[in-house]
Formats: sequence, structure tokens, C-alpha cells
Amino acid sequence: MEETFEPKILAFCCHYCAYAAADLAGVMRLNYPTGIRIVEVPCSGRVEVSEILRAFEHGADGVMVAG
Amino acid sequence: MAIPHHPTSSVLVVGGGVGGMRAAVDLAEAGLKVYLVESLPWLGGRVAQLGYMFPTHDCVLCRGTSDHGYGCTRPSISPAFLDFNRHPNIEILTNTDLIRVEGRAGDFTVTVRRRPTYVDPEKCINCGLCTAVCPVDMPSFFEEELVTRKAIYKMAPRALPDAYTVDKVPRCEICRRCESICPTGAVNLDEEPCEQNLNVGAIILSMGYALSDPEEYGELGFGRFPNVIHSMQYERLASRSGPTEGIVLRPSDGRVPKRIAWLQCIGSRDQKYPYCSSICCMYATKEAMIAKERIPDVHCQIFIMDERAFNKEFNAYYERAQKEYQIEYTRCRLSAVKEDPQTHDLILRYPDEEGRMREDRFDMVVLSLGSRPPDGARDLARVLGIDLNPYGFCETDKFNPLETSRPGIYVCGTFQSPKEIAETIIDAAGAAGDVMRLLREHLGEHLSSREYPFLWRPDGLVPERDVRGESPRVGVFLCRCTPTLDGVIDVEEVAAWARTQPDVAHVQLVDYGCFEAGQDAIRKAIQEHHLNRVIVGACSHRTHEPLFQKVTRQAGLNPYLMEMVNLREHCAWVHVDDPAGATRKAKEMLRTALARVRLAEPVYKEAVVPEPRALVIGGGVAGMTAALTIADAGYEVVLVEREPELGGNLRYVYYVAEGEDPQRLLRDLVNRLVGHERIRVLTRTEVVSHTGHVGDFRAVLRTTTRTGETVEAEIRHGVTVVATGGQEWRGAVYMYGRDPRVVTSMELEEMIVHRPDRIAELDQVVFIQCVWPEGEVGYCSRICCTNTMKNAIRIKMLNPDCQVIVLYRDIVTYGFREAVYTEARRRGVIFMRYDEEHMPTIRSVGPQLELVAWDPSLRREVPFYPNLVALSMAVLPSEGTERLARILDVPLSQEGFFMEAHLKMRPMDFVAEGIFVCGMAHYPKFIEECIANAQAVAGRALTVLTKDRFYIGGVVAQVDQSKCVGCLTCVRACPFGIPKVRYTDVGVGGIQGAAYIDPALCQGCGTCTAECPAKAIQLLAYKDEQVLAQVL
Repeated sequence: MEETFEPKILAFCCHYCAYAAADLAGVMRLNYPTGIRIVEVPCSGRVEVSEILRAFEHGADGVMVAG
Repeated sequence: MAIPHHPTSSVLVVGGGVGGMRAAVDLAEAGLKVYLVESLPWLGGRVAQLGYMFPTHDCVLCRGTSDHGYGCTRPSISPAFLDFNRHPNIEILTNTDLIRVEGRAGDFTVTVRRRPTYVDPEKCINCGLCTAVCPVDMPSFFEEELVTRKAIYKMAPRALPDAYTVDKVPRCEICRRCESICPTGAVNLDEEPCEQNLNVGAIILSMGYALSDPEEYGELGFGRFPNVIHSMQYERLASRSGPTEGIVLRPSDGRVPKRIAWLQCIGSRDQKYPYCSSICCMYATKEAMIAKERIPDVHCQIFIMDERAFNKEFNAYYERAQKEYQIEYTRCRLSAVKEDPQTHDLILRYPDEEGRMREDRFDMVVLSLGSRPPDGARDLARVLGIDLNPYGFCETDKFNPLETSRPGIYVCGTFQSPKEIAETIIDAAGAAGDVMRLLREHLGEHLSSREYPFLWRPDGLVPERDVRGESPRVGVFLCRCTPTLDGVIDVEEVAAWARTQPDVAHVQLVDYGCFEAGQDAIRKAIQEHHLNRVIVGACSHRTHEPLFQKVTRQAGLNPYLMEMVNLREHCAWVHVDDPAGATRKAKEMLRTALARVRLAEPVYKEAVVPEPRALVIGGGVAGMTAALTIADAGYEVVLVEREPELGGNLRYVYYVAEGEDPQRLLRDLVNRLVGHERIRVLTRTEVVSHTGHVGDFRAVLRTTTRTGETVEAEIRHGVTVVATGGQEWRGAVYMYGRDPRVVTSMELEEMIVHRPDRIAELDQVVFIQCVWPEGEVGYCSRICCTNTMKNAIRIKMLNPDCQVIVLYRDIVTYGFREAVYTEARRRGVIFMRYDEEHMPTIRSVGPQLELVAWDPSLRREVPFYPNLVALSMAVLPSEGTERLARILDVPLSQEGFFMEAHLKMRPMDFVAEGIFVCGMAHYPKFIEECIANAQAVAGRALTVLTKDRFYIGGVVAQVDQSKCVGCLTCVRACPFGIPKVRYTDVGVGGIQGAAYIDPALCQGCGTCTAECPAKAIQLLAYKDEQVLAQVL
């Protein structure tokens, strides 16, 4: 069978930096797989362990906290 | 309803860099109207080109892209400059030049000419089709000519205004492909220039600086050798949004460099440009540190004359560069760079520490360029009728550092003298403070409100509808943004899918949501379909959320009932090659947004009417200047000074290096202060308690009467200014206190002024610089070198035969102060450098003082037998600084001075709004710098005092005290020190003591909510269930 695994990754992004960086990736027309989803938070400090675990519980293959 | 106003309640700010933007925001906040004129097509100035700032290494990504502000510290500059969040009092005129200035202070008529950009920023949607079809390549000035750009282009990926511009060349006339391909008809190559007259009361010049021309130094190989680049090119290479996405590569072969050299003072401190550019030591250090972080095993060597790390935390940064990063600093000014023509490696010859010549090869050489006056400064000075100094920068008076030679025209930033970002910010706020004093009758004339997250005039809103108890009726608006979104995502399919989702009452496709027609459609649909939740599937929160929040509010809903889905930056633009995947992802994004918007709740702010009174703590030059500026602008001031007399350190400064009379300044300030109808001066008085928040503080002041009794009084005030100054250290080192021939720098000044006869008798004087309490955090006290020069020159004037020797670590005569260093050398003052391994020693030998110092050129110790030794003692924070910090509940920096909200972008603010710091309480500084700083805090204070009301709270953390166990986790977790456990509050189970978070202070980061083990804290708009909803 052909290898088609595309990981699902949830990224918690700080509004002020990482979210802006993700915006810039778009503005610069960079490419990344569609399996990456971004959740905007006011600060990476807002992210709780339980939220990260919840993401894994719901099938995320990876979680990124960026800030 | 139009607001009536006097035409001269307006101010012109020339220059849209970081200084101009800061000045504009402060003036706008004080209720004045601002025209911000920038000659380039976009705002941002030099700072926009920088990837990182020293010494914080804050990423300037958000700044360089200028779509947001200046780091995570809010409220900073550019939220007011977001395209859709612009301050209602600021009118931005880009690509515009100043043509004519007539009139006088309070009533100028200014003619400006706007050159066409050929693109209507209101219609440009940044799709980029135009630039893709443009056949013309030109060198990119923003990328310092490292790459090319098209004739139709944007300075940076994100710019302000966020639109393309045409740099029209003859070929454009016949080509016109951009015009025909533009989906919104935004391009018009026939646009004409236009002139406009502006009536303004005052003008602030913030025109920045130009870079030195590296080609003037042909011997260093720039322009001949490909691997010799200049420092701004390096900044672009190191910037993540630069041409190489942050990977520094050798221009000749694209290899990663393993050995990089920086050559300092290129176009500074030489015969032609005799001043110091003030910033190069630090930026070269930063550039080298970034290289070390990114390239394993890279060797970085900086060739310096003196290391000038003279601002807050700069010295610690310099030390870190040497100790942690192993950056090598070599004291040598190189006269030539040679190249190996085969490899394009560069060969540098220089003497090592032993004095032997050595030859080293480098992969890359960076020339640290100095600052020049801005291009066109001479012509503009003529138009404005202002004087320039001999170096071509703006002439200012020592004690009026922000005033030009023409009344009503002020200057800030690097056009006044070379300086870094924090000082530019201070200047800019100070110039704004000066203008507020001039235009005092007009303050508050243009009111704006921060009741909602977008800036808004307080008129014309329909009442907000109460949606509590209603079941969710969600309206989904999908922007086509043709071709940006609908060219990748199948928006029809997404819309059809959305219609099937629970609670969705209405789904609508709009062509361009941000256009007037799109906004109308959304407003109409919200009302017609009785929606109580809104989703806008369009672009970024960061650019357009304020706009759609405004639209939502205009339709009668709380702005927080709207949720944005970033289908552009986070979906269509990054998945261009995968339309099916993008469509699938768009649905997923919409699904989580729906989950979140169902849980959305209104968020409100609390209105505060500010108490129109300022408390100024400290009666030195900074405190007195701040008090006078605030009082002149029309507000009451209570100034407290713990000494019996006003004046602080200024009382002991008798002359300055530049020649002015500080004692006259002192008399003027004291006379104006005590005679001022709005200032109450309380001497022998200290602040013993300070509570409340911005706009509504209370302080208890304790006065000791002449008879020794103490009297306490409470005052209520809207803002607090901390101006408690600094003091000269008087430590028992180098026999100080044991031998009367050893004096401090201030004592020497007393002697020069009051006992010139004693100076006339001297044969030899030795100055020792950088005298420091052992074991303390080392920092540069900034003023000592220049003070030593001024005293050394005085001694030489009074007694030319006296030998004057200065033992120094680094000579820090930054900016135009370099002239006094040159003058001291010209008069025969001898300078000898010492370092940590070779500290001078002093002892008495019979009746003589014997001072032994290491001579680095002779490489041996040399004894001196001076009649007088002057110690440049460290400047420390004044006595009681720690106690006052506790009373005010504000932090101190590691050096012991008050710690500002942000080292670079908010140097005069505390994180706690409404409390400001200026003068030596912030860091050692010169009189003129204290004055600029004091005016800056006065201006900042006036932005609070001039408001009829302002708003606190919003997206802040709230404690449910019935769940709080008072465990102190939030107190420890908060990066801003805001939560308090108050014994008077009742927590879980009726136990005394529960956490309280002041909504006026909370910065809204939510760290406490994540840490709270009892889940007692929630951040509004980011409650647990709202964030969890997006994780599903």
C-alpha cells in the first residue's frame, strides 16, 4: 500500500508573534501541508496541558505551542 | 455629528518611522489631530528593515511587516496604525513631500505634494497578480539592493498602507499589464500628483537618518569585493523576511560564512565625520550574536575603537557577547581590506595584543555604517527655515533639546543626533509633550474612545442588543476576495456545507468583505436575519478583526460575538497547490469557529473619568521639567521633594561640556515652578503609600516640618511621574576618604569652580574612569567620560602645564560629544587604557601618592605621583529607590533602576498604566536627556489627563473568588506581577484571602488562567471552553 500518512498537527500560536509569523508565511506564499491547523491564543502562556492532551485525544499527531 | 474644532488644533509630523509614529499616537491620544507625512510609500522607516533589536533580540517580524506593533507589550504604537484600526485622529499621507511652510507657531500653513502611487490602497487586496505579470526588474532599496523587485511592488510582505505601489518607468506607459489584470481596478497609471494645504499649529520633524556611503572608503573594498557588505545589508540577510529568509550567505558563492569580521566606525569618528554614530557598537554585537546562534562554529570578530555600550542593559549584553557567545573584540581600526581573487576570501592585517602584526582570512566582512543626516535635510531646512548644526543634523539648544531654531517646529530622533530606538521613542514622546504645551487650548478637542477594541469616535452607534438567553443564530459570511480565496477554495461548496451546520441561521458569500459594499451587506444581514453570532471567513485576525468587530458593533451586536476565520493567510495562500485540501481545511476551520462562536459572550470595558491631577515624585531637573510641562498644558501638579531644596543633582553641576550654564537653568526652573499657579511644591516630603489605578490613584504624602514633626496628607491624582534621580557612588576605593587628594568627579567640579587657585598649583592629575562597587552588576554610567573631558579641559585651560592622564576602559563620548574627546586630546590630555587584568593601584609612599597603571603600548607598569586623583564613580539609583518601588508596586531592573514596560518601545512607561519614569531614576543620563525624558513622560501623562473618560478592562483575567484557595500560583505565574492575594477578600469555603486581578493592570495574556490549579481564573474571550472548542 502506498504511504499516504499526513500528520494532523495543531498549532497554538501567540497572537503577537507566531500567529503573525503564520500570516507572513501566507503573505510570502510559502507552502505547508493542509494537516496543520492554527489556534490563536493571546499568549503561549495561555495554553494549558489539558488542552494539549485534549488535542491528542482527538487524534492530533502533533501539537505545537509557538510564541 | 461633526466635532467643531479650531483648524490649528492640528499637528504635522514629518517622517513615518518609529519616532514619527510614536509622536503621532501620543498627540492623537491627547485629542489633537495629526497629519503624518512620509516621503516613502509606506510607514516604518529604518526600523522596518531590522529583523531584531538589541539587546532584547525581540523579533521585529511584526514590526518589519508593520501589520502590528512592537512586541507583546500593549498598548504600544502600531495597533493604532493597523490599516483597519487607524486612530481616528491620524491622517497618514505617504509618498508625500513638504513643499512650503508659512506662518508661525500656533498657526502654520504647510503645502504638501503627494506623488502618485498609482494604486488605490482602499481597493488593493494584496492578491499579488500585478507583480506576477510585471516585466520590469529594479533593485530593491528596502533589501539594500541585494535583490531586485518589480516596478509594481510592496516594500515588505506586510506594509502600511498594505497595498502595492508603482515605481513608474517609461515602459509602464505601454505595458499596463498590472492595470488590466487587477481584479478590483485598483491600479491607475494615469494618476497625477496633487498638492494640499494643511493648517497646523505645530510641526514635529522625525526624518530619521541616512546611512554612510561605504564607497567613500574604497580601501575597504565595498563595491569591489563581493563579500564585503554593509551592516544594513547584513540586517536584511539576517531578517526572516529578508531575501535569504534569515540565512546569511556569502554573496560571491552562496556559501555559509564560517569567519565574519565587522569593521566599526565606518563613516564615524574620522576626520570627515568626527562624531560617533552611537548605535554601531551595539548593532554589530547583535549581528554577531545572531550569526553565532544560527551558524555552528562561526568565528565572529569585531574590530572596534571603543565599545560604547552606554545604555540600560547594554553592558550586560556586551559581556554576554564575549563570555557566552565567544565573540572576539579586537581594538584596531583597519585601514585596508584585501581579497584573495581566487576564493574571494578577505584578508585583514592587524596587530594582536602583543603588538605583532598578524594576517587573517575571513569569509565575509561587514562594514558598520554610521549615520548621516537624512537625505534632503539641507533643502528641507531651507523650506522650514530651521538651522542645522555643523554636521548637518538639526540644531537644538542644549536645554531645549527638542526645539529647533524656529518656534513651533520640534525635532525628535536621529535627525537631531544619532541615537537608538529607545531614545528616539523618548524624544518623540517628548516633542509631542512640547507640542501639547504649545497647543494647550486645543487639547482634547478631537475626542476618541477606546470603549471598543477598535478606535472609535464616541458618536453614531446604535444601542447594543442584549442577546443573553437567546439560542445561537449564527451568520456565516464568506469572502470571495476574488481571486485570492475563491481561486483556491471552493467557496460555494464551503457555503453549502455551512448551511447544513447546527445553529447556522444565515450563510452569505460576499465579494470583498472589507469594501464598503461588503460591510453594508454584513450589517444588513445581521439585522435582517436577527443574528446573534457572526463568523467572517476572510483573512487575518491581525489585519481585519478590528474592521469586522466594528461592522458587528455597528449592526448592534457586541464586537466579541464575531469570530474571524483566517481563510486567506492560513489556508488559501499556503495551500495554493492543493485546492481540494484547502477546501476541506476551510470547512474544518469553519467548524471549530462555529464551536467557539456558540460560546461567545459579550465583553465590556469599564469607564474611568481621570482625576485631572499629576503627582511628580522628585524635584530635580527631570521632575521639575515634567511638572512644568504638565502644568503649562493646564493640569494641576503636586510635586514632592524629600530634600529641603529643589534641584537635585543639578545644584552641583556648574558647567557643561558644551558651555551652557546649568545654574541658570536651575534658577529658571525653580522660579517658574514655585511661581506656577497650578503647581504645589512640597519639600521635605515623601510618598508613604500609593494605591489605585490609572486615572484614579491615591497617595499619602508625609512632610517633615522644620521643627521635626511629621504631617500626613492624602491626595487623589490621575497619573504619577517618578523622577527620583540618581547619585554618585562614594565608595572607599582607591584610598578615597583616606587621602584628601583622591576626590570624586563631582568634588573635582566643585574645586575647579570654587578653588581655581588649587587647580593652578597642580603638576599632575590622574582620572580613573569606571570606578565601580565590587561585586555589583556592572553598567556604563554614561555621563562620566564626557564629565571627565569637560573637567580635564578646564584643568588644561586653567593650568596648561599640568599633566592630565585619563585611565579608562572605553571612552564613551557618544554622538556629538566626541568633539570634547577630540578637544581634550588636542589639549594634550593623555589617555591610557586599562582592563580587568591590569587594574590601576594606588598607595601612599611617604608624602606622595603612588599610582601604578599598566601601559598597554609599552606592555609594562608605569608609576605616577599625582597631586590629585579624580575618580569617575558609578552613578547609582538614589537612596530609597527600592522602598519607593515597593510603595508604587513597580519593578526594578537588575542595575537597580526603575524598570520600564519595554526596554526599547516603552522606555518611559511602566507596565502599570498611568505611572511613568524619567531622568536618572530610569538610567544615568545627561541634563538634556533628562529634559527630553521629562517632557516625554509629561506628554504621556497628558494623554491620560486630557481624556474625558477612558476605558479599562476588556479581554482580562477574572477571578471567581468562590473557587480560590489563595495558593499564590497566579501571583507567581504572572509575568507582570498583577495578581494579588488580598486578605480582605473571601475565597473558597469562606476562608479569608483570595486572589484579585485589577482589570486596569491586567495585560490579558492568560498565563494565570492556564496555571490556576482550581480553575478559578478565566480570561474573557479565551475561557477554557472557548479554547477547548477549537481543539475538537
